[in-house]
Amino acid sequence: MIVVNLDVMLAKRKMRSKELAERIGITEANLSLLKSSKVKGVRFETLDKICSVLECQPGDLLEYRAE
Amino acid sequence: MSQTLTAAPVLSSSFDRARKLSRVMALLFTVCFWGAAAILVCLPAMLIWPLAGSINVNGVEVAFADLSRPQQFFAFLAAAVNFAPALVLLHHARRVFGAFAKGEVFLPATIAHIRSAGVWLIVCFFLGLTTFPLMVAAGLHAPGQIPLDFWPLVIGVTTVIAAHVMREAARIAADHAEIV
Repeated sequence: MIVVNLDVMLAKRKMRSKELAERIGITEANLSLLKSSKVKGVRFETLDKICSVLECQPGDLLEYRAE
Repeated sequence: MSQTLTAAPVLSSSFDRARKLSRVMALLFTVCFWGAAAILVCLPAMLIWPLAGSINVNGVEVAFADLSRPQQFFAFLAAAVNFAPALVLLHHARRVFGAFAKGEVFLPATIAHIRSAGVWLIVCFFLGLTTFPLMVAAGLHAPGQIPLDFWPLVIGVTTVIAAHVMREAARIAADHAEIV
């Protein structure tokens, strides 16, 4: 399964979900769903914006774990 | 996730005109629905008191008072067979436009009403065919003279297909809604 480590990166950057949601232009509700891996997919555009704001790589945000 | 399937999609401002028109259509269909319901309720009364008036069945003006007792009965059956499915059809039509007026587009309930409206249009066509023997028995049609109107069938099938397409569109939209 794919695990989203967005909360870890947010903690490292000392940024709140609300601020990230505002800066990348998605709703807090959708960001919350993304954080809890409850979405079917992530657009490259969204991933690009998150990486840009959090100054990280997609690999820092996404992780594969065998079930 | 299931919550996205039931949530109303965000509509563009250009849909406002369609909403206004839908409100008018919903009102029109509601008036027609209650009118048809009143006629259906009054039909037995016309059979009991034939002087009550006349009614249009399949384009034929039927004056109950001018008919014999058996003819009145067949005319009553023909009218009932005509009005009952039309009533159900009108109910679905007013619900569809009522939902559009509220901006409830591509929702499962709305799509179900569109599909039902199509199905009942098809039912109207086939039940309409059964009224001809009754009209002939009532002496309102010459035997063998069956003026077929295929439009309810064509529109009904088209509406059912459109409902299926809308359901697929709703499923795709729900899928896309789960991608952030």
